[in-house]
Amino acid sequence: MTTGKLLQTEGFEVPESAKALNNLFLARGWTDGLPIMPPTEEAVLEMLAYTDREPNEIVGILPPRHGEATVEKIAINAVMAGCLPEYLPILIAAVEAMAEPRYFLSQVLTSTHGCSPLVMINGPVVTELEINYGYHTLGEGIRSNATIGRAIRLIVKNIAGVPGRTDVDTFGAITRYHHIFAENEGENPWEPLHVERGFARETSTVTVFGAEPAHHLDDMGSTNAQNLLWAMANTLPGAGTRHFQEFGEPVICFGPQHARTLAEGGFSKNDVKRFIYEHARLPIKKHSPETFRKINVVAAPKWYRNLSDEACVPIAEKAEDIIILVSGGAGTHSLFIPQQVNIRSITKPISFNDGRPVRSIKEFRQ
Amino acid sequence: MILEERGIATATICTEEFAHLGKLEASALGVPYLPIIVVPHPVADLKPEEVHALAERVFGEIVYALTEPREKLMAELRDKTYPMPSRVFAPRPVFAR
Repeated sequence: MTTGKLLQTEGFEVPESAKALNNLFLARGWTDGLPIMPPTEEAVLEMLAYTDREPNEIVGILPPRHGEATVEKIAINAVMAGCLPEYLPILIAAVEAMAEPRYFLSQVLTSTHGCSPLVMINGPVVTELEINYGYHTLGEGIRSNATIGRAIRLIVKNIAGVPGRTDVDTFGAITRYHHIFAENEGENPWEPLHVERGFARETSTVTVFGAEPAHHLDDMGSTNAQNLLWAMANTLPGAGTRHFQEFGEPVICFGPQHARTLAEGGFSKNDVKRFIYEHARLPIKKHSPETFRKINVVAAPKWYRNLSDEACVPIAEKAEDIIILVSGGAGTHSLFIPQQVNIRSITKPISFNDGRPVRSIKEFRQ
Repeated sequence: MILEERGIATATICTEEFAHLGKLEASALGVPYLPIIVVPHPVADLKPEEVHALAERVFGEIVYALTEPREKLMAELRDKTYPMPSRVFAPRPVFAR
């Protein structure tokens, strides 16, 4: 396939055998440790057919290395990860989002706190590209989720950081290989996140969070919305959870069954946020007094200075900062997805270069 | 880094686990000579008296960074390297296998 586009990246001859080629990429620190697909000129050009941007256009500058994420560099990492060319527009939108200063990518990538970019996809592109939003949405086995997630990791590794040198995450996490899902809009009784954030329902968007691996929230018994929320709100608080030390955007992702119970009980999305805000609280006396003094009080003196031990710490500064999502398959399960504090999740539309959102990925080929 | 670019002397204090990252980001932003004072990791759980002792230990280096002529510091620090984080796992090169 030819697109008439010229690549800027300097090419080099590589060994012919897959084993030798992979050893080379591994030795240069360009992979996640698993074998990659070779980013040949042909494969990269094929990828570039799904964008109307020039290969050398800078989509974003990614800290801490402040590397220039050009369309072409994104495409190279996408090929390496095993992406289909149709996935490129998702990666471009994700890079635009990660490059927003309010997202604070350098903190997400270099902190000892085990977070990583978590990508969530909304809109018609989810069905069009067969992105999994049901059972196992955060899991493996589906090409779109698996390779888009992996490409995000390779992009931040190869463009934003120096592999293995700038990342001192104390433990790392499996979510550093792949951290992606889609919202289950068909079973979401409320408006999906992109609509809540002002996009049309038929606009496809990519949202990036800076998230820990999800924590399970289990409730099998509640048939009443208030009982269910009460159980959830009392599972969240913990002295060792960063959201109870500094302010950020905690994410609660309800499974469709739990979401239905809440909606049938008359709870709007804002009601759910308000309930969580008011009831997911940690009494100051359950905090380490030292950590409370050194972290909470220093970060938010107007809220905490001179409070009694009986007072409580909320999960976020405002109810609106709590993010409510719906995803996954059947089952009495939901997820608490703690984020890095002091960062903001960012949503970007999948769009043409002039900013018009695409209705279908196929429009890039017309 | 913004202060340094405006010619205002600074001294950035980094623990040894983050000094390499500090140098890398400063270089990426065009201030490779940023004076970085390295202290042992960690500092988050130090007692106040331990913090004071640490400050005493690096006081001279901080004063040096803030008072020596800018050109001299730039020449000294531009190519200075900092140790990699000590706990980074570094396997043998693949080609040795």
